[in-house]
Amino acid sequence: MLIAGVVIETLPGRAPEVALRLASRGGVQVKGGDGDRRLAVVVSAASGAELERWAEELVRDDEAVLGVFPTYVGEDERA
Amino acid sequence: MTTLSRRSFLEASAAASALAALGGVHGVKQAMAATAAGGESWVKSVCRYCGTGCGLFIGVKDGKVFAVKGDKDNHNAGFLCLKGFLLPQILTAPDRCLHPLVRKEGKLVRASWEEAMSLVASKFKESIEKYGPDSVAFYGSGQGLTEETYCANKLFKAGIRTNNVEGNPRLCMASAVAGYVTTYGKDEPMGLYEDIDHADVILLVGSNTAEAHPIIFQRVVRRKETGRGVKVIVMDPRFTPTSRIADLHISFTPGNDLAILNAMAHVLVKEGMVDEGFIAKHVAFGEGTEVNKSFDDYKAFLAEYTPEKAAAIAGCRPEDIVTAARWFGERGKAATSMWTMGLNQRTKGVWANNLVHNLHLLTGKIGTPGNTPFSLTGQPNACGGVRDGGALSHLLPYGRLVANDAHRAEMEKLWGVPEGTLKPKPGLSTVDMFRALEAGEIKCLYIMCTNPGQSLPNVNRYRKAMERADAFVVVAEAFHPTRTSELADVVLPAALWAEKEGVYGCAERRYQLLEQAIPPAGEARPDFAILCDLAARLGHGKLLPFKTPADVWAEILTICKGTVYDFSGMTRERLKQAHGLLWPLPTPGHPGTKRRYVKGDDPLVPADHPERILFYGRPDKKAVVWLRPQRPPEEVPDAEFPFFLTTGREIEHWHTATMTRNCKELANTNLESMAQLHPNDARKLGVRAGQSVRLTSRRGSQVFRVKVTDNAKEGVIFIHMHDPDRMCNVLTIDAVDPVSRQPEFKVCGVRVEKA
Repeated sequence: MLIAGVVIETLPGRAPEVALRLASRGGVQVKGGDGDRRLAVVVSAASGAELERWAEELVRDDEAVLGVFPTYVGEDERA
Repeated sequence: MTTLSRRSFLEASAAASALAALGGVHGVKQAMAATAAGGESWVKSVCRYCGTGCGLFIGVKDGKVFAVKGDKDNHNAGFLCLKGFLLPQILTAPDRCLHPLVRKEGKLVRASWEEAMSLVASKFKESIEKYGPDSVAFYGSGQGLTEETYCANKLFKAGIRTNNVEGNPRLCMASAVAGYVTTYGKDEPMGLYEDIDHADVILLVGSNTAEAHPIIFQRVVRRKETGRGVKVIVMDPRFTPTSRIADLHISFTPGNDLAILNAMAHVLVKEGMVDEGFIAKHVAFGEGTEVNKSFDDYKAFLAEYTPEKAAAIAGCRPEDIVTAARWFGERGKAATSMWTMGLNQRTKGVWANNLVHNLHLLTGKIGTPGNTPFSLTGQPNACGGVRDGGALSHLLPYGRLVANDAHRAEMEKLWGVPEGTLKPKPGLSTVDMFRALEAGEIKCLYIMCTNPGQSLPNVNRYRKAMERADAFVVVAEAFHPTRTSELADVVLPAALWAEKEGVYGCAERRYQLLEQAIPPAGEARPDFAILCDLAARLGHGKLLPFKTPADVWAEILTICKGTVYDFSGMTRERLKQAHGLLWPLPTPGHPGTKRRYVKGDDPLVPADHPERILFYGRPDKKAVVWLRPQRPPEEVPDAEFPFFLTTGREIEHWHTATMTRNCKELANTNLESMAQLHPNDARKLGVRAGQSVRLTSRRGSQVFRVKVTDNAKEGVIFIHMHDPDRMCNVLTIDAVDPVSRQPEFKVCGVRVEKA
């Protein structure tokens, strides 16, 4: 299981609504944000490929999301 | 003590990293505190992959690396790309080379360090005694640490007394070096990444930044989103992921961008967008190798490069050239240009570099925030270790030249060797070096931290050279097998990244210390230690008396002092504290230099200089606008080989994939090199996606599966360079730029047949 720290960039002013949408998804914890256009998120994924897929889908499906940038990836071998 | 489950610990680390990247928002302190409670340590380091030089911290627990996180106080502001985050895996990859190997009866078998090093030393000694010093050579890397490359350079040039010292930066940035040197008199960019944040126009030419330098691309994206009216111009034959953010994408037939760049200059001059005052004070004009032309000569030269004519040559639209020039030249708008292999890996690479510099010099858009010509770098220490350190066959450390009597005399004094020790004739450049191996003139070759058995152009020719029975090839490498180590007579297991200590210097003159986080795997040793051992065995131990890399660094500080690189204020202690320092930095208290040649910033420009800028690299203190005509590539399509082939990188892998194919997330992601064809070409050829085709050039033939994509340009086939099993370099041409000696990986002719 991969645990990733991710910064999500949104359109200006749209971070809170994106945070709400993310909160309803499994495997995602919103840890903070600047209240405007950036969110700090922790994501759990079975693999790097799944993590990439998640990021790609988020950018593709959520028109308020501009980009997803990992800042950390750790692996929990026992998970 | 608070105890955390592994999962809680990882989540806290991940949260801390993401929050830190945001900077100053609620939650950082709490998250960091949770992380610290886990009992691990975080060691400051730098990413091992591209030349961006992203700062990071290596997480160590129980003697093992468990994670990395971006350094928010470094230029990358805490961001890393996915490859960077997967770095811990390469340390324990199953193909780590863990003990020396020696070839016996045709097979590489395990040996002791003593046996391997005795063999290497005896072979080198024998060759030097029998055939002279130039019968041996060193081929290094822009990935070696500065201290390691310095040791190799000193051993071979001052100890063995051969200038046959080369490195793979010859394959990736030699044309950028020669571009800077011919234009400004000195190598290395004058600007820094921060210029992106101030640019109104960003010209990306010959650079797929989104895939090759993702963190720099992210900065470009941010600037475009936050700056008012920021324009991005991308010049690239293909519609790459970088092109997706372009306001203007100029696609052209490979090798014809010189015409476009000259036509942009034509428009700048014609429409009065040049800065006459700047030109009068700071610019000279030249042609060939002589600086003997005038601005009027240059205007006459440009007259024929109308946008219409250039567009006809390059296969693009004239109005796009005009638009690009107008955006670039608009008064009051800051312009940053960035380029990399698309310009450098060409037989006209130096000229192409000159033409980008011309645009900045004509408009005076240089040396102020957002105004800079910036060459991006492919490897993490090509700049710091090889370019600055002078570890190429024509160079000596820190801007000195082999062919310059005074420079040799100075280095002999600094190195404490007798006058006349350093040979005045430059050694062989990379392609010539492997040709000399092919010809039997070089008998022993020491390859460190690189993979020429895959990365050289026309690679099968030079693989045969490495296989010659009378060639003795040593490969010091962290992984085995690679396409080079499989050909070696001796493989020396090298420590990797977090297992050793040393300095990296990235594209923006930023030097950073990588601290050792864990011991080397298996029997691996740092290249620094291996080279010191070899020096002692060859009788040159006095030249490399160092006990630690820090000892080497202390000597390097004395070597750079007084040069235009002067970073003698970068003590080891200061490097440990800092999150990267930019040279020149001549005293311990100096903050470092953001913009070279600029008064008030660069310590080498006198404080009382009457102008804002001083191009001190040349005797006349001016930069040169060169008259460089359009010339085609060495090989263009013809009836026999009707397609262009161009090669490059994709985001998931790096170089020859020795450090990405062994990451489980990346191993099965896009490693296979595929022939990327435009749909119209696929239709004409009668091939579909997934089918196999045989590509043949004048040098070789290779089968690839087909990928059909609109991103390709019609008539141009793209193949990435990463796949060790389907090597694009079987096809590429080994013609080189006459000045930089860099090969033309980017353009050759091929034919395509169903396989």
